[in-house]
Amino acid sequence: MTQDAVLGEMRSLREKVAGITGTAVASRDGLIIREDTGGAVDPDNLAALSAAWLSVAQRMSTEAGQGSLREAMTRSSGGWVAIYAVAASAVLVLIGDEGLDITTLRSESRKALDAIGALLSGPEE
Amino acid sequence: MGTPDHHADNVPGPLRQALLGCAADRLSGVLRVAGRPGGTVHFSDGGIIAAETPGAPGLEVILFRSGRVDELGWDAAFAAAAATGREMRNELIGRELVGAGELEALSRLAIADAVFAMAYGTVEDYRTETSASAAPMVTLEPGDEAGWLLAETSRRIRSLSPFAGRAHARIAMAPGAVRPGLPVSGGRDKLAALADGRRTPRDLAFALGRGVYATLLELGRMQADGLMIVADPGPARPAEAAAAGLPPAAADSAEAIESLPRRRRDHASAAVRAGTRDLPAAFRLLRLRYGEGTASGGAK
Amino acid sequence: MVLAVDGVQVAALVDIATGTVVRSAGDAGPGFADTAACVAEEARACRAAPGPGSPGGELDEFSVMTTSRIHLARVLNGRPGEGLVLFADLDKARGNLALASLRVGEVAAAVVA
Repeated sequence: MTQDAVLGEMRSLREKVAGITGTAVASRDGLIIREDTGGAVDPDNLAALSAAWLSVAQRMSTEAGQGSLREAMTRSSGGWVAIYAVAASAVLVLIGDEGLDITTLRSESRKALDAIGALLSGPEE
Repeated sequence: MGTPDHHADNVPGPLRQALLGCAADRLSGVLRVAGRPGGTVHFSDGGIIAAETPGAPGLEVILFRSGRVDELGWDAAFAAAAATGREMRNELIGRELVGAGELEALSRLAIADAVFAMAYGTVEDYRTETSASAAPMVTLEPGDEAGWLLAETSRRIRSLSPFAGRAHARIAMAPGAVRPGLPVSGGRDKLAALADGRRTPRDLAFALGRGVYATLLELGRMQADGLMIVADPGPARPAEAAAAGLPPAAADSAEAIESLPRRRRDHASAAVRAGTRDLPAAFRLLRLRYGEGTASGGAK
Repeated sequence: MVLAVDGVQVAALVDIATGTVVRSAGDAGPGFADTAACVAEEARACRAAPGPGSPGGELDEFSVMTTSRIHLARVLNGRPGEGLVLFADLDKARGNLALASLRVGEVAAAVVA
């Protein structure tokens, strides 16, 4: 099942990067595709916000003349949230605590994004 | 503080060598440790003034999550320190957000926890940098001796029973463990509420704003009491009901006064304990004093 | 500091949750880290002894006396699962528990200020 493979990639990323507390993949129009947040957040709200945020972040990147968006991140007193474009159709959102290993995240996220992108652009699930 | 133990055999060799080397070289700069979790140790003239790792909550997290310092106070102190160039440490103390002695204690504990987390995981490589990279916000002054830190790290590793394997095992409450009545000591109720089979001891430490070593110690006791198990990695279990109680540990308290030597069961090597206190098999009197009134314990 | 109290040979500030010696003064000796870890364990056990909910108030202080020594431990910043213990090791012949308790109590607040 494509969705289980996507979940597998998400879980694998959570294993590799210390501090990730939850992940989700959503469609560009804000609908949840797969989530692994352990019940900590509302996945539907997360999906809607992530899609909207990605859209704004990409426009900001263009507006600032900085090419294509790689990553958008918020840093708050309680942790981090990061979003990434997945292929052309989805967005990956990660939630992390204060100890998120950002260095390892940056080196591992590329592989995860490529893998999830490939899974999603395969046969319709 | 006591005789440094340069053996510290249970600390990964590269980390041991790196810390001692930086101290001997009187490094002012950073030691970057590559591994899982890896981390960064900040030195000033060979003394360790700070340490950071994704594997343990830093001083900021501990101050915030425990409620010791509130965000507004911290931000005001930070802004003032940035504007005047004064030390964050002095701003926090000057604004009476935290006492000087307390801050020193917490800083030292945060450093010890970070180095412990690095040593308890895997160490692959290290390098030093002498350029003034991003200095941490709150530093310990004067810095810690590497010898002391290694001895303390070694003691901590030694003291942990091989319970859950590592700080990145996934922890859950044992089936049937969640019942009303468990004593509040050690923050067990909070641990129980958060141990959902998804969080690791490191995650729990961050969520609670407590040290990862302290968390591992408590989890070890909970496992010995049959309350906690290591869940296999995989789909997360649903969290237990919020009103998580815990089984009565009446036996625990009743024994507390009579059996002082037995309470050392946590520690791996009893041989090390023997003779470290001038405590013969018969101790004379254990006298406890609480907020009001006094309780006297049994004599042998 | 605490060493000024008659008969005190070693004094230390010990973290209850970890048993780590945060500060020490006096002639601690090589096995002191293990002693401190025991003191922290004792503090945890004494806290739990009255049962859940701490009837009678939070743990203030405990002491252990042997044939030749007094170990006095004063709890600072008492909070469940956290806090520090100010520990003093006295020569019983030269020290006096009540007096030491009083003096250590006086010094305690200043130690973390």
